[in-house]
Amino acid sequence: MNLLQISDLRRELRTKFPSAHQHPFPKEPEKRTKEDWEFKAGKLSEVIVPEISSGMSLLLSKLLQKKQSLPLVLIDSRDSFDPASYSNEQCSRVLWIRCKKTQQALQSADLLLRDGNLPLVLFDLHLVCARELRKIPRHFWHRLRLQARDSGVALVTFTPCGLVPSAHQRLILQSTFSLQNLELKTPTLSITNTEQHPLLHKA
Amino acid sequence: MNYAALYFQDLSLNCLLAREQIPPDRPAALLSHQERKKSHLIASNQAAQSMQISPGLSSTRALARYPELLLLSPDVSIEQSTRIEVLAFVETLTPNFEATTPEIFLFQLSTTKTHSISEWINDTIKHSSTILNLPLRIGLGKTPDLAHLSSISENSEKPLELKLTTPALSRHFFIPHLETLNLWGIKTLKDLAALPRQGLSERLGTQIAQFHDIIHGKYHRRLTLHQSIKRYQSHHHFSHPIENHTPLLFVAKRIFRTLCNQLQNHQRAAEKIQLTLLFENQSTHTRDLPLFEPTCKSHILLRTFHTYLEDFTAPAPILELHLELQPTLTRHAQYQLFQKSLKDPNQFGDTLKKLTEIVGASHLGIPQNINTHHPDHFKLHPIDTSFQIPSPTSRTPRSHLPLKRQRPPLHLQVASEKRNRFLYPLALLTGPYQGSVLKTRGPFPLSGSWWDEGWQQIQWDIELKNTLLQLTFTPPKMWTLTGVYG
Repeated sequence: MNLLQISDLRRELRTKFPSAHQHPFPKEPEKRTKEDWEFKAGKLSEVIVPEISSGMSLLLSKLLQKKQSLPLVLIDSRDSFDPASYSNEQCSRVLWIRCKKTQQALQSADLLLRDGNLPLVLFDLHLVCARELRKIPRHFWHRLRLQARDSGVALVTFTPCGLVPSAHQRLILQSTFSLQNLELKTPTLSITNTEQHPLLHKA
Repeated sequence: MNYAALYFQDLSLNCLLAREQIPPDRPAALLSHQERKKSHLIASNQAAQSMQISPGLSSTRALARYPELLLLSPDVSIEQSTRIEVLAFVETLTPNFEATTPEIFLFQLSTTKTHSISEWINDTIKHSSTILNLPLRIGLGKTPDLAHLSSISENSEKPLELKLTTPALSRHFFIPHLETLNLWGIKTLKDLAALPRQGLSERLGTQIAQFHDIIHGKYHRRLTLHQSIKRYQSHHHFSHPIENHTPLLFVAKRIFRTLCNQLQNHQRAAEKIQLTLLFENQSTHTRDLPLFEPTCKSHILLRTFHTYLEDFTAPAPILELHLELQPTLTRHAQYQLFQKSLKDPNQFGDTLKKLTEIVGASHLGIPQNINTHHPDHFKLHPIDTSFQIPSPTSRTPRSHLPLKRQRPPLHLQVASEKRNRFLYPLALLTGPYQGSVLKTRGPFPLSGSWWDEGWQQIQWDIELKNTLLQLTFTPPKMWTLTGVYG
């Protein structure tokens, strides 16, 4: 009896006696739906923001809506965070570090990851020009990854293009907005998980 | 006998007699005031008491009884210095004792280094007379209060023979209904002890019953141990002036370890480091280094000290290092099971200091919107371990989409046309986002501070291809890019 006949026989039996072929432990539907952009502790995640209005601030707003006992850190490399765009309750959940130079932002990230007291560090390099981003050595990211692993801090970088070679996950923001989203329509965030995005260093 | 009581009788009088080396057989008394005529006696020595000169007599009466009586005025400074000497003397006998009154010290005999009690009593009295030149009585008892009673009674072996009317007894113990007891013919403690407890309690109340228990040794209270005020400090004089901070750290590490051990022994923690450096040019540098959380871990103190030294430049070579720790009670935090807290607050404090050095104190904190219409006006609260800020006022953002603000605003060339009273943007001619404007939202005229210099501007939200921008027009003709939405 060849394989094809066996499979035909099984199919026939399944149709004739469906109760006998039921799974003893039916699979329960998943109660919790995990968001794709959950940032894991001790890991380095990269969020690529290809366009200027791709929804980075909206993602930050969503992160600040979550009630947490400890604030998250925002290393703002171009001093672009606008407290007036967020409610006071959201503002009270962020430790804002306003940097003027990229070097200050890099030093701050290094210190906070080594410290390990605050669980989530957002590293905003979104408005930094590509020429300056290229100057960041690759070993710096490797060092951050090791520090994050040791201290258990989740580091999320916001970059205009793929930059972090050792990222645990790489997300891409692809939201588009219109003027209606400012007041009338609630904007929705579009995030996709990607591994294909070319890295700036490789390019 | 488990407890001992040291009684430095009439300390305020005897310290003056000891200072002036007056022999104990000379009758002497202490006045209540400096003025002799107006004052009365507050203490008298045994020689004076044998001549019926007791405390409470007026000075004139006392002199009438014995004209050569030595009358001394109280001296607070001598009394205080004697009290410190007495405390130091008691500390040499035992580390754990109760300073019941300035004259009475109670302790457990097991805490002293003694083999024979009689020898120990003789040695202690001998040392007290040679070192302090003060008379000392020692009482022993199976409870602290019995030892106390024994020390104040004339016959320390039979404390219950003490009369109820003895001034020393009423000074040290509260005996209620003394007059009633006197009427009943109860003269001594022994008489009182012979009465039935229940009957006493029913007739005169529970307080006298408690005193009855004390006499019978049934009431055994705990000693309230004396805690001396200690300064946790140490200094080091360098044989050769030093010019870098490595030897300073080496010495500080040793000092911190010693001081932290002392703090731990006293169940205390350091809340502040007081640093003093003495330089070769005789100048000094003093600084308080507060800690984020009280600690008695030497490596945390050293790290704080090291962080401070990293930015410190000495004006001259360092000759002497002086370190003092400000003690406080150790922190007992109730950690929440479902709430995260800082793993190491002191390390976080150090990190904050370093971050402040990098970006500046005004560029680090928790932002809060303030009640104003002026764009880009907010307050940054400094941070502590609790991350508590004054209760925020509820304020909803102006739009669903947050803004990424351009700081400082970028000047642009904008093609515009005038409609009604306002200039409508048509296209951005310069800047990073050039192109024609697809849609606009506005104008939003804003103004304020008219009572002062005043400001006025008109905001526009514009849509370009894939980009939402916020433009600001400041009359008469300045266009600026203030932010990007999204």
